[in-house]
Amino acid sequence: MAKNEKKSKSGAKLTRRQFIQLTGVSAASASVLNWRPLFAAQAARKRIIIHGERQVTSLGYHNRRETEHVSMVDAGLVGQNPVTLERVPVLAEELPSVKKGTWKIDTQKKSMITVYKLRPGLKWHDGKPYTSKDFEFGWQIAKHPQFPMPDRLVPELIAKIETPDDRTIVIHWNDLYSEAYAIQYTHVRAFPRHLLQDAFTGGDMKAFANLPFWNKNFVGAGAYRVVEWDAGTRMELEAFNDFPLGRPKIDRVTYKTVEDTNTNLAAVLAGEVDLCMRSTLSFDGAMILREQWEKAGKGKVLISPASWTWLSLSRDNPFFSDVRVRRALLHAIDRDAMVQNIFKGEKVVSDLPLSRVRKSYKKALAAATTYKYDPERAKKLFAEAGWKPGSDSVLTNAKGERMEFEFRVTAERRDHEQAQAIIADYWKKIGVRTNIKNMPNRLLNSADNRNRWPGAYIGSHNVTVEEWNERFHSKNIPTAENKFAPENVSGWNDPKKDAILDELSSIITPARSEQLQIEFCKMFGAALPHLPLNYSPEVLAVKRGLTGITPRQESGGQNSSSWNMYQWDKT
Amino acid sequence: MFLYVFKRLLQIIPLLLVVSALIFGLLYAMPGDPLYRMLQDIPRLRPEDYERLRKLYGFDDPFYVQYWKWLWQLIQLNPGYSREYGQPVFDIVWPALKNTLVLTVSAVIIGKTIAILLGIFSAVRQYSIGDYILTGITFIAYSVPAFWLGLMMIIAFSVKLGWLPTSGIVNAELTPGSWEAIVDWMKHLILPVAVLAISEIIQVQRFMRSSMLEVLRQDYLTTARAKGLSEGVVVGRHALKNALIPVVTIIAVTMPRVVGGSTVVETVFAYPGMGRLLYTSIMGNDFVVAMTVVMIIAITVVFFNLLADILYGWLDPRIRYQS
Repeated sequence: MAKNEKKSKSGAKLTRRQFIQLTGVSAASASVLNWRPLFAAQAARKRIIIHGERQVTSLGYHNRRETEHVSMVDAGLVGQNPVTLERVPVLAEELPSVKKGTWKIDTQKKSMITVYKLRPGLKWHDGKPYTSKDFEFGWQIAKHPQFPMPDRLVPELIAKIETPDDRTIVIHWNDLYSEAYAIQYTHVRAFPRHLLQDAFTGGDMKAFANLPFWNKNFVGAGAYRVVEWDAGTRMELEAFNDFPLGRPKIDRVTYKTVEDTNTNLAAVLAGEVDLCMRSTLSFDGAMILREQWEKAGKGKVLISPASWTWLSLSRDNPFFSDVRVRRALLHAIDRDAMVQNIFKGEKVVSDLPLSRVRKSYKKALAAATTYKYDPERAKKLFAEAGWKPGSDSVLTNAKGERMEFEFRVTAERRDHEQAQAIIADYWKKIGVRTNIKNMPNRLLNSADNRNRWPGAYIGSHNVTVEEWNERFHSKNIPTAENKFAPENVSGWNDPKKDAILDELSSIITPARSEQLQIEFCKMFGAALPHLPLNYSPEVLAVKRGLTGITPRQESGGQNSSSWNMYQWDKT
Repeated sequence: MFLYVFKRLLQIIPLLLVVSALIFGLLYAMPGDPLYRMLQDIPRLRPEDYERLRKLYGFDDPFYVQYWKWLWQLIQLNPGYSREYGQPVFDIVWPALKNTLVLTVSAVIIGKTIAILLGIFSAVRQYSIGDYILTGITFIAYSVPAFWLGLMMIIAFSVKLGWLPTSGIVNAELTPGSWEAIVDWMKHLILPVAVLAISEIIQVQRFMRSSMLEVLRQDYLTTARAKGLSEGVVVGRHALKNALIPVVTIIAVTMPRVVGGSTVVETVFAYPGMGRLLYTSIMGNDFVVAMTVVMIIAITVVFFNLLADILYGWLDPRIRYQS
């Protein structure tokens, strides 16, 4: 027998090559057969892939806080239903209430006490008990001056926290705060003392803030626990069996960061992704999906009017100090036609800085002045304000100044650029000239440009009622002294309005709150500090079979479409 | 030769210092507030919070202080922590570098090999139909942007045919290290490697063709043919080595991309490499990460330039290095 030949059972001779091939094929077949049970076991587990646009940086307090990421892996005492905006207890048994004596208010001393009771048997992802002491520890981190917590307004409102037992949290407030009964996890939440206490008391806060705990090794109390985290690209989550509201129905979740909207669109069309979260798809992409994907029954495109797009006129430009000019400019825009053009029939025109799902919305809309498309009325208002068409049909005032100003939007923000072109055209028809000067986001937020512009600017913002104070209170007008950081960019300065905002931030009944919201909207409609354009639609794409996804109806605060992830299911 | 290389290595140090200062200066001078994203996301951020954060992150230090702090950390081979991720910079950069190397080395090997072969073919068969077709395809491909080509390939191979994944690097459902996972990983690589390889082919094929054409006209090749050597030996053994000399420059110049990755391709395919990391770190004002990535690219540029000079000497005996 030749050296490189072997004999098979049947006696046939095999060359070395045939022998190696046969061995290889046998090994591969055996491996595939062995894997089958493994695949079967995996198939029984429910898994989904989510695409998000934003990177998962920190799951803790610091850096850019992503409510969507955080609410996947952690939970607060209280959550918020982003559809009804109702506050719901999560780790707390119930919300503190004045009736039950768990919310004590001393209006004289301007102080309060709220008592939260934790649900029994709460656990961290590592199985250790979750106690009231962990909440107190979380507050200590939040208020530590060396910890890079961005917004410390709420932690600083808390004077002290008492923990008479493992389940009771007694919060002493040093001021009146309307949200004290539903403390948001973005403001104060618990962190596992047993894992962080030593590093925290060690004193090196820079090292503490850079612990792998905050992302890679995160231990929370949410519906899912982090099992893998790749910086900026991917997060693997596994269902947390001891989640107090019930074990999640989906066992495993892969969260991938994919910034390019076209790649996300392709991934949905290719059936690779179960859920595309906000900002992953462009509005045009959503329309393509509706045509090619939704109609074929492959999934659902959910569009919700979440944030506000408004046109802000410069507070420093004397042209706009006359309210008649502002009203005329708004009357000159056919917002229905504009929105129809940009958002293909989505009814998203807005008149008020108020979400449609707020209880006060309908009454507020009925009470407030709204501005329909009426170019003749616009011309009349301009004439009343002293602006008359000149020889070149551009409006001119008694000083000979032409109604001409700079018009700015964020470069490459497609819907804003489209709106800008349409509005410039409407204004041109009534004698207003604009000079387009768009800038990238980074430049718009540079020290030289932040929160100020010489003419008009279109921007989209979160404007929850809880954030009205920041957006509209006179104390928040950007100035050189405050480095133009505050957000009342219109410079709306009215003590009556400030009194409403102060009362809204204070302790009031829901009925009074509604009344004040209506009152505020009336003032907004009359003063018109911004020209409301439309709600910015938020797009989610949900593959067929995935259920329980609720698109948020209002952006800002802790509203997040992943708030109820434990209820999601895949059929 | 050894002394020459040693001297060149010494010259690299001040060069890299100047480069680092320049790049740091450019990043520092970039318009926009390093905390602008926080300002946008959190309307409740009060002016005092803003000031506190600037101080905590060291953004209120003057340029030279920030630069020196960064340089000193880099000299100790510990460039500090990423501000975005709160992780040691190298923990962020190494995985990205590893991913990029896999992507770009594959693309370079495939692309440049094909390019050299096609360049030789075009030169040897000058003005043939094959040469015309190749020239036409090269010019068309040259004018196609990488992001568009990437998207078209995604539509063709992922959306329409469903053969390949659209993006990413791994399928988390598979057991790491299993054959299935390895095959899946290779599937994830095919499209981005193909897009990068096509750009490599376009760049090198034309150079190879013209270089080979020039060499083929040399007298010593006529002599070789007159001696009765086959065309294959003439081209493969005598012409190729000399024709490769100018191509080596092109290859050396493009090599830093092997380390730097391709921002466009990595973004389109959501591939977690150096190009994407550089982009996201600049956009997120994570300067420490951006500077580390840029410095790694700068070191690669310098190193490959030196390597190209050394290779000249090996390829062209007329070149001698004097210390």
